[in-house]
Amino acid sequence: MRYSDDKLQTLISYTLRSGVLAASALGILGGIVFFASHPQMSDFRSFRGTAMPYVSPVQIFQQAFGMQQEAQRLRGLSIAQIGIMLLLATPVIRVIFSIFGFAAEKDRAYVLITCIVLVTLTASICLH
Amino acid sequence: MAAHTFTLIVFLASICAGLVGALTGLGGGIIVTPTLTLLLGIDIRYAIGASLVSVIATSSGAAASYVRDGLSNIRIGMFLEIATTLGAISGALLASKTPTTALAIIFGVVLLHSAWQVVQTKVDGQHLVKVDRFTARLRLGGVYQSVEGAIPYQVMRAKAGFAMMYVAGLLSGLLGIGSGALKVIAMDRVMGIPFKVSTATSSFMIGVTGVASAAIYLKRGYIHPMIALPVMLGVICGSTLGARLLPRLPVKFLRRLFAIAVVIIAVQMIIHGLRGRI
Repeated sequence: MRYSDDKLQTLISYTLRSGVLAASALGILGGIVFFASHPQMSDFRSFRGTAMPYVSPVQIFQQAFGMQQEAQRLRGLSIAQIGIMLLLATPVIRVIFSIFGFAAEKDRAYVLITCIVLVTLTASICLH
Repeated sequence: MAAHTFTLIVFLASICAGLVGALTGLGGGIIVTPTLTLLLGIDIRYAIGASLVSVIATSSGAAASYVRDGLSNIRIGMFLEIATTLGAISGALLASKTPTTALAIIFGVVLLHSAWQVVQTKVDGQHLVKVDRFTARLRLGGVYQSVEGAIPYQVMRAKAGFAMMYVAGLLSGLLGIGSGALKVIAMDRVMGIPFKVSTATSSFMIGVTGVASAAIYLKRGYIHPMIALPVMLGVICGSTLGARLLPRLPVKFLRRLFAIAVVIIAVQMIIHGLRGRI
């Protein structure tokens, strides 16, 4: 019997590793910028929810890489939040790359299975 | 408390969470949530957000190694993810119409029973079983590397396992936690998959189960970077370490560790159910 899924395993492993490394790199960079500003501790006993400035992706990107003179604290945490959002996206990216991986192995059954997973996953993200 | 002390405590706790999460296939929420809420007094919603980050960080961090070493079986994972994602959708739709407190208590008792069974099991995996046609067509069997060399294994009862995964997805959609526990139990007990492959494949899958709630948690402000950043970095370190250790650890030890973690989850669920806080 077979089971030489080596290429597919390598592809998925690389996809996950790249996502994790890129997320970590952004996180560490953001952390350095944040701590360089000698930050005060925040109060997390009460929940601020959407009042905090790390909710809207557009706003986060502007705070992280925009030209305005943002406070270093805000800039650092915004860069970190981009890293976190990238990490949260890695499972979806992994599913998308698996479709190509199974297609390269001409494994139609699993191309179909993976497509079904992607569709239901997208639906459940939208439903929540 | 100063900001760097806070970050250091969360980082160190998250290393443990990633390590335990990667070895058990459960994802590390059981360590991250109590550290943040009980030890540091953080609002539960920030803790829920951080717990999601820890689940996905464990999944992606550990699976990068598990997939390469053949410990995560990607075919089993993809096939069963259809069931878990469909279950999660059903759970989201049913959430408002279900007596979740009663369900939490029942599920807690089921988990206690399963934890006991997992420790009692003497035979690990199925090497010489007759495979039904459906399972054979899906090419679910595989080979994994262990210290004793390459170990081939087969998969039984793929349909029953698929049904149980649907329930796992449904319950995680309804109750919010415990999806990893049922995944490992279904693969180990129902499908006869070796325990290491079961936990590694569960680690591979929990990221996809978790990602369904990621967008809404971000939108509601549950994910604060000052908390989530040390969680993410710590869990990535811990789960990478865990993924290196798993091939070398004896199955008996892993079963015990899994059972202890599941008992903790089960007791939490029962207490929450009794207090009506689900």
